[in-house]
Amino acid sequence: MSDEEHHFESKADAGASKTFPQQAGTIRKNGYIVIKNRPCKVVEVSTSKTGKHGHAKCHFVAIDIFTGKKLEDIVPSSHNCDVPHVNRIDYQLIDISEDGFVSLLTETGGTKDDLRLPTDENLLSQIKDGFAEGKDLVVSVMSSMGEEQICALKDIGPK
Amino acid sequence: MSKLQSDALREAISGIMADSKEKNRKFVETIELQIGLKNYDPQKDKRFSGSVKLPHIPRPKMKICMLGDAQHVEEAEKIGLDWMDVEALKKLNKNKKLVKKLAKKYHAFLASEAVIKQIPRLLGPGLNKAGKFPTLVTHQETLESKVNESKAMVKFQLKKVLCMGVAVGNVSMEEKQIFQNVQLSVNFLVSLLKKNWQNVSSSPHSIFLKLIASGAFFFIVLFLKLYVLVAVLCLSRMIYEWLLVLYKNLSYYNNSLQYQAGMD
Repeated sequence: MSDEEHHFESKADAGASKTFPQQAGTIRKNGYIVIKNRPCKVVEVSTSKTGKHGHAKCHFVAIDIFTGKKLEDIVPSSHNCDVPHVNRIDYQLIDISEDGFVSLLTETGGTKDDLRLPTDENLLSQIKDGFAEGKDLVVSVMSSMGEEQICALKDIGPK
Repeated sequence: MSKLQSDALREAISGIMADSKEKNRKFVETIELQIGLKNYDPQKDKRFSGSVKLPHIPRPKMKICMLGDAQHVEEAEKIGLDWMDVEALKKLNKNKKLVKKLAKKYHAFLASEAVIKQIPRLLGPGLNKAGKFPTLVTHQETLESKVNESKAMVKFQLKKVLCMGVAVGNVSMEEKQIFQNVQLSVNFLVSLLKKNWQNVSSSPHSIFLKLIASGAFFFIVLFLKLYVLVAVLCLSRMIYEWLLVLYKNLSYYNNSLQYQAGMD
């Protein structure tokens, strides 16, 4: 009698790429770009042409969408840059456990328990105070390049 | 390829069944799979949770409550399932004690699509803290099949601690059925730990056999340098509401907890 083999695919997606290429010259302000392997939102773009025989270059100033750090990069405008896929999904807040993790209610009716409370003090206090008062809270979760973080909060109030 | 030794697992299951027959109880005992993870930091590593449907229902007498809309309440009445509608939930008025009582009364909950979105508002975090957040039921499937599916479902969820316990069978099942349930559970769990599992190197294993003072049977299969410690515990479950048996059940539970604490 042989062993029965059971295989489970644990990946949520089909192994799709986390980024897609885009020409540097076409990335605008408020777009997304990957700098030093971090997904960033562009806050400033300037293009410069260097010398008679040089090629135009784009200077990006961007903010890491998870940590808030400022990162800079200079890319020739004809080259390709990586652009991250960024998703925002809304979940209803169910519970906050003592060790700083939250339980959220997904659209399909299940629970999501693998998210930490955000490190932003203002947002953190809003979430904790709202939850303590028993409000109905909906959090926006931003996910990109395998990372997820709560980035916004709104009170939907009693209906 | 499964890293769990089939022979060791069969031996463990046979031992449990023999021991259960030797000290026969007046109720059906549950077989629980307890798993301890190593080299896993709950604070830093990514948490996981997942559910899998076992081929054989481990707890046929599981108590389930339907939190439904009008249509599901009607269906629940037909098949004799306990139910609560939105009005009954509103009467709880987010009272923590009442929600806790409700969570203790049933093993699992089902909820209609319209109701499940209101549960955080109506009940607050109580059900989720008890680990019994309802499972979604749609109108496309019959309630009875969903109830049976829910009884066969086991949930693995990693939270603060590195130990998990799920019921995988009972002593009235055949050994082959228990074997299938355990194997499926372990393989599913390992798929959630995919990266850690790949670091496992095959090593000789050693088996520890211990009897807890209350007579419960605890069988451990240990693989050196293995990340997953799998233990099959024979745990008593009360079928009849008998006070003495209830007392014994509590004793077993406490003993198991103490022993588990000693393992950490």
